Amino acid sequence: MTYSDAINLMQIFDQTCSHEYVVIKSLPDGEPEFGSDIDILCADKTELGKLFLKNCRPYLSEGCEIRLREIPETDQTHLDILRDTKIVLRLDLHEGLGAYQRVPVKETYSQRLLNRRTWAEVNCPSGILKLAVPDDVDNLVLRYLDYHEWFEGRPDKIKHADHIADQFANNSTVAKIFYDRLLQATSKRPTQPALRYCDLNLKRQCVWAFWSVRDKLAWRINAVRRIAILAITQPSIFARKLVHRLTPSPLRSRTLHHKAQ
Amino acid sequence: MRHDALIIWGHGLPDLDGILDIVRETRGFSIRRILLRDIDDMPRFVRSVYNFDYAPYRHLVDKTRYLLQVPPRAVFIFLDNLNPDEHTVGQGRFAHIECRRMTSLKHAIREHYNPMIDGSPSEHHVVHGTDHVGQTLATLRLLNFESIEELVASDRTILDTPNHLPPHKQWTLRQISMDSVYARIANTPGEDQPHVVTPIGQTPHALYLAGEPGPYQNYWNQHRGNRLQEDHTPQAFEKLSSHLDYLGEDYPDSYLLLDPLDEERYVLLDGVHRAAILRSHGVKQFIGAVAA
Repeated sequence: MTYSDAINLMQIFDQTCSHEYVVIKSLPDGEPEFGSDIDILCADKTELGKLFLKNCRPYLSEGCEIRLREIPETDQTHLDILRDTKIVLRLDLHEGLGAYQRVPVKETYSQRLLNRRTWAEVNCPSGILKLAVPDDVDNLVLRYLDYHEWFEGRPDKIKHADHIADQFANNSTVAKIFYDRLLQATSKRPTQPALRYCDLNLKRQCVWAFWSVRDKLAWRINAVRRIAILAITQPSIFARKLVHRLTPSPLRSRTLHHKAQ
Repeated sequence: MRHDALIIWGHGLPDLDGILDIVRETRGFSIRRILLRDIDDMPRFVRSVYNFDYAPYRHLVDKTRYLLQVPPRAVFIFLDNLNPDEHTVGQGRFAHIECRRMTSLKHAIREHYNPMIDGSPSEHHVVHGTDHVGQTLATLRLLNFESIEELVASDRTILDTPNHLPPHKQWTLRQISMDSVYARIANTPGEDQPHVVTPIGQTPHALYLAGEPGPYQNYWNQHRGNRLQEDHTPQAFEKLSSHLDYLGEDYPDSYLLLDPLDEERYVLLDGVHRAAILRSHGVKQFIGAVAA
């Protein structure tokens, strides 16, 4: 049995256009492999999950089973279609990007990412499937997060770093937007994954070194740039923040207390 | 939509099924939970209930004196008031919000079921109803609930699951043979086992639908407000039987929920009434959700 005999993605994604979602990792053209994951970031995984469940229900009368699994630790829900106890398709619904442990992602970033979504067309055996996907730069940010999260255990994730470096080489403005978005996305600077040089060839080591330096520099440059912009455009706020930063902590807490009152 | 509560006093309990019929037939209300409670200290309980009333104190004392003579039990009916028609009544410190629909529901129940004294309807009300959501919350607190969410099912899960079930992290939807379905039927109070596992075809529910109403009528009378906290009067059951559209447009995610007993048998966690109805309609297989 071919994949398209078993699963019709057009049917599964029917009527999803009105929901706020993006497919995080884009699907390949043609037939996905049996057991494929489709990672989906959405604003409301209960509502979207109900729709997917409705769309998947016809498979139940074809002898399949549907497994719903909540993973509260990472705010994920798996909706698996199983045939003969094997997963044919997994829809991995995320309501935020809390699954990234190494680089904490701000909650507001998920909504911004959904607001900036674009549409991609994927060729399926039964037609052209229209899917919501992140825009190009958010896609790079997600790749960056994925690379940081998994690189230690999966050195093949260096492919994301390669891809990002290629994009920077092709278009210099992408890097600037990328770092702005990364600053929007993360609440603290990501920690570098421990390098396993034995897994890297010389080219990879060079890419890594380039990335480490560039990453550190860009982070600081962006921080200075933001402070400078604030000082020029809103000097009163800048001055207040500066005083706040320089004031010893007991007075600062009293100031905050008065403000709260 | 807002939530409201009715309290049926002890002298109204023999007519509980009739009262539930009136509520069910009144448009804009949906019965969510029915709870029966024995009351240890009736004067204190009456004071607690009317603590939030707006009538002058002396009037309330006169109005509620009869309640000290009625059996010390009450049924609490929590409702969804789907389309409240609120307005302000009273003046000055007695001004408060009321819902016209709720008021007319109370009046309809009182008209039918307030006891007759000297051939005319008395003011010994069988029902007390809430005026606004603040009173509903106060009623919930009398029963040691913090919010209505503790009583009604949450709609924040993909499958509709009743709140009496502990949260399950995994469900598997599959075709289930009706012959493999069992139900936990509550035993008579005082028995060693709280329930007995019975094939769905031998439950009081299935017997009722097969034309033998006695066992179900007894079952409902014995357990209403305790083990049976939803609107499952025989009349409501019949209505459900004639209208059930399993997984249809109105309730697409209300699967029958089951727990595996062994490799071939399942016991229902929720949906005994619906399973009995499906069986009576000749359904041999259905899609159910099996807990992990």
